[in-house]
Amino acid sequence: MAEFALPQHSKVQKGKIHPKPEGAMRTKTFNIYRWSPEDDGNPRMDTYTVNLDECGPMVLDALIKIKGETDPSLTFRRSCREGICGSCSMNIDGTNTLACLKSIDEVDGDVDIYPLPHMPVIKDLVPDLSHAYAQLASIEPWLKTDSNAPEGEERRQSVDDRDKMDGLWECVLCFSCSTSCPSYWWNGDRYLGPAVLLQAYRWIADSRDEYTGERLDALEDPFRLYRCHTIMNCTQTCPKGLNPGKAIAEIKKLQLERQ
Amino acid sequence: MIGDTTSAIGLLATILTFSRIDLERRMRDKDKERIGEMIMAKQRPLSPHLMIYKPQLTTIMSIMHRMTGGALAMGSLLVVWWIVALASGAEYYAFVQTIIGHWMGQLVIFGFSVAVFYHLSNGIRHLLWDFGYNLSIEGVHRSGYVVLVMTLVLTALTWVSVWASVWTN
Amino acid sequence: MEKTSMRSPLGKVRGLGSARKGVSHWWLQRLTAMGLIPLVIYMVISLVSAMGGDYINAVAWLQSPINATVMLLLLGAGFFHATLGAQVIIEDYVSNENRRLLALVAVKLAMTGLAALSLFSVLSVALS
Ligand code: HEM
Repeated sequence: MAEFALPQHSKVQKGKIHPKPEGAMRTKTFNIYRWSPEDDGNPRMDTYTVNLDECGPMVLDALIKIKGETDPSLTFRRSCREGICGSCSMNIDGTNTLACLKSIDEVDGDVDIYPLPHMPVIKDLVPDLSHAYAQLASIEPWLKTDSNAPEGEERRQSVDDRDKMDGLWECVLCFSCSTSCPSYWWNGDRYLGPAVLLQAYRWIADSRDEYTGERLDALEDPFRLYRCHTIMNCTQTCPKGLNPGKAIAEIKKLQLERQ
Repeated sequence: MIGDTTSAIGLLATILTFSRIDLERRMRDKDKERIGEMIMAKQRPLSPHLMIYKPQLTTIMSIMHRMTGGALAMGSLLVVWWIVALASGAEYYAFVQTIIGHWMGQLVIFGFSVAVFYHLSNGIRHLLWDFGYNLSIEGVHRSGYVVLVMTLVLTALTWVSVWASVWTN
Repeated sequence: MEKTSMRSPLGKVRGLGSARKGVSHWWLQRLTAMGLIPLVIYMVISLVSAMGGDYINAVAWLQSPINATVMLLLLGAGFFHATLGAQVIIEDYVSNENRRLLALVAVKLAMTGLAALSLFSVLSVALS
């Protein structure tokens, strides 16, 4: 059976409560998932209170402040802090997003922060994405052609065809969508998930690509593609406002069209 | 004599070599076990999922489609039963009718009707998605509310007409 | 999930390759769904307006050619659709290969049996 509960060693326990900053007028409490291979035992929720008057507006600002001033052991991925690199994806206040694009004010009450759901945890908020990256590699996300590019020129694409790429190329591969999808939770070993299927469609929809049929062949599979049940958590959660659910629907339409 | 000695030494060397290989292998196995245990001890936890993800329209309406579909499949047993009763003659049919007429039977049929209307309405929503409509997040929400209202309206309409026809009979 | 497999992640993902099927299951689920829309609506209206009758009334209702035909189509399409649906649910939740196969076979046989029983019963009433 699909496991709906967490395995024993993954159950989350109560953790440390760090003291409130003294003399702060405006504060926010952050409950953050912690686990390190170096300490024994289960994951736990540690509580930190942040002085908002000395903190930037985004959840990522608070995480950096906590790491810098309260607890240097807190571990998370981050790089660009402006929604371009896709590193700081995590579950904030119950939905997946980029910590750098989620403003603290948006959250009522305490801010609960977990790693991306249903993933093996390397440390704290850092999930192991090897499997998801391998899934991305499996759809061969690059231009595949047999004919040569015109001498001394790049491959041409009409403006209309280029427009079809919009909403697809912007994906920063943060995997917020895939890890918001219950179908990916239960069958992520074989289901490719919305992030990878959106990329697959990006190359299927590219007028310059000459391997459209082979790409569709590789996707036509009860698990790789058809575990999508149009739940639409993916589109609901995408921090970049993209629509992986629609991209998957387009792939299904093409699969039908070529029957 | 010299030949015997060399072969004896050769044999000894062979035995030593093999037992050494064997020893090495056994040590390697032991190591593997130990490393295995260490990996097990430090097994990476699985991050929380269902229990922490915000319940939202998308997920709830999706699981309801599945539950109503399952309920209809179970409920089809009752439909089959009713048809078989009809085919089995007046006496058995009358018996089935009394069960259906009981308030508990009525409750089950009421539940069945809600499942039919939800699954029908949301099924149409699914088909529209499959043809490419309502796939924006606004479309998903708008059509979701339409389905909920349609379920209520169709259920109400059906039971009002049922009661009306029972009343007039 | 495998704990100590040394196979590369890409090797695991590629696995046994694409099954190159799935469209027809998906399409038949939609096709039966589209067929079921008018059938279910007709049946609900017909049943509600024929409410409260006795055995004679019920038999007469099912002997009407239209009602009998709709009933046969509804049962046929309904069981087909429900079997396809049950297959998806089992594939989603039963991950052990043997148990999955067992569940799929059991559901398909049971659904076929129920469909045959109900279709035969409708015909026997309608043609009596
Ligand atoms: C009234 C007309 C109906 C329509 C329009 C309809 C539509 C649909 C659609 C579009 C799906 C696919 C959902 C998906 O891809 O996740 C579905 C699934 C399903 N349907 Fe129906 N359906 C109808 C009637 C029925 C009936 C009468 C039954 C049972 C006897 C039934 C049982 C199921 C089941 C078990 C599933 C699988 C649910 C799942 O995968 O989550 N449906 N239906």
